Amino acid sequence: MNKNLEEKYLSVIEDNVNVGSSNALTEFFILVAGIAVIFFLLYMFADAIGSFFIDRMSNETQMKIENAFSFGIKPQVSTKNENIIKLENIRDKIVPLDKNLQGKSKFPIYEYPEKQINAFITPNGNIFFTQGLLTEVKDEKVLTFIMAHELGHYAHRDHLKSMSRQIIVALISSIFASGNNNIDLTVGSISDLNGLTYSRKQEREADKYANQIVYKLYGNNKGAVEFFKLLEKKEKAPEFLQYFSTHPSTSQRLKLIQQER
Amino acid sequence: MGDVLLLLIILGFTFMTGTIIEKRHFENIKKREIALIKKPIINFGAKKWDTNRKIKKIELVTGECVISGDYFKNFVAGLKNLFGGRLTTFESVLDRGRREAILKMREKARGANFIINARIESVMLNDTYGQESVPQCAIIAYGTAVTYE
Repeated sequence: MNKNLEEKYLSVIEDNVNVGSSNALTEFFILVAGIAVIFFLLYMFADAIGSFFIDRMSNETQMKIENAFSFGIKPQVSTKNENIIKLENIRDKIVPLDKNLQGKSKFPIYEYPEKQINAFITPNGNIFFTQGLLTEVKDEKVLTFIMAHELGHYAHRDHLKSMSRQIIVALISSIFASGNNNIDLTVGSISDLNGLTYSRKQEREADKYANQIVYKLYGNNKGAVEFFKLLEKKEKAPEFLQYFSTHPSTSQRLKLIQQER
Repeated sequence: MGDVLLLLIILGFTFMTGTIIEKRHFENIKKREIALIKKPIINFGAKKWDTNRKIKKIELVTGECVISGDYFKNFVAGLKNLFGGRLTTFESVLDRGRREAILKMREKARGANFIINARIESVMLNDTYGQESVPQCAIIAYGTAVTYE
């Protein structure tokens, strides 16, 4: 075999035209970013449509949907102690202030056996306070703020909005990703984060709502400010982790409340 | 949240391991190809072949390779399915598989003067649309090794 031919073969081995030269990692980032943008837009779209129709929905329809969706949700603990009675009194003060809360759920209040400081409301209007919160917080103004925050979610129909958004996004993404596992996975991961950002917007609205209620009842918002200062003490997560949390960071919420004053 | 982290960890890990394995495989293939550079494959497609020299042995030689991309490559390719285009992550996998199969065939024909009428076939081993399946490809190279006396 002559020398030239051998060199030619060697160069063919070294220089491979069959393999693409693009970097797999950059390709990955471009693809994920593209899909993220598409789904962010989809979320905005679903969000707008959901809010548009749900804000115009009649109360009867709301009740119908709530009853359909909360079938089978039953509280585990139903003991009535001092704390619950105190909370019920606060609730009875708040409900007459807003038309959106009247004539719907009776807002029963329950204690939830957990040490974390938290409170939440289910779609059919059951309000849960964790044991940790009830032992930590005794001040009536602070409890009023928390209660108003949860009722604010209900008054804004946040539960229905997030439900409608999930349904729209799930529908469209299942069409997109039919038969493709990876896209399902990516979309799921991205939409998890987007879902949280949306709920933080709702949290901000609920904070504002609760702030107004506290103002109406007491003439100042000391209760809210105190609550956030308490949370700030308890919190240890750094602020840059914000994108991953369900609520805005405490210092941001505090700022918002103080601006409202 | 946990799911996202887990996915990112798996992707990062498989990207690193996949890159290392692919680099080593390519180095290995290059070394063997250079070693075999003087063993030609002749592909003229004729059914009838004549020679004046005396033939000692004619035999069928085959080389197989079953190859799969790593998790990261499959993931990127899956995303690319949405937009279309060249699946560059799979190109390197296919290239490795093909060269490996040809190399095995040539190594099997040790002692032969050359291989005539070499062919390459590829078979999908796994159903790509199944839930748990991994795209795998079997590549078979075969030809006739001719040894002169």
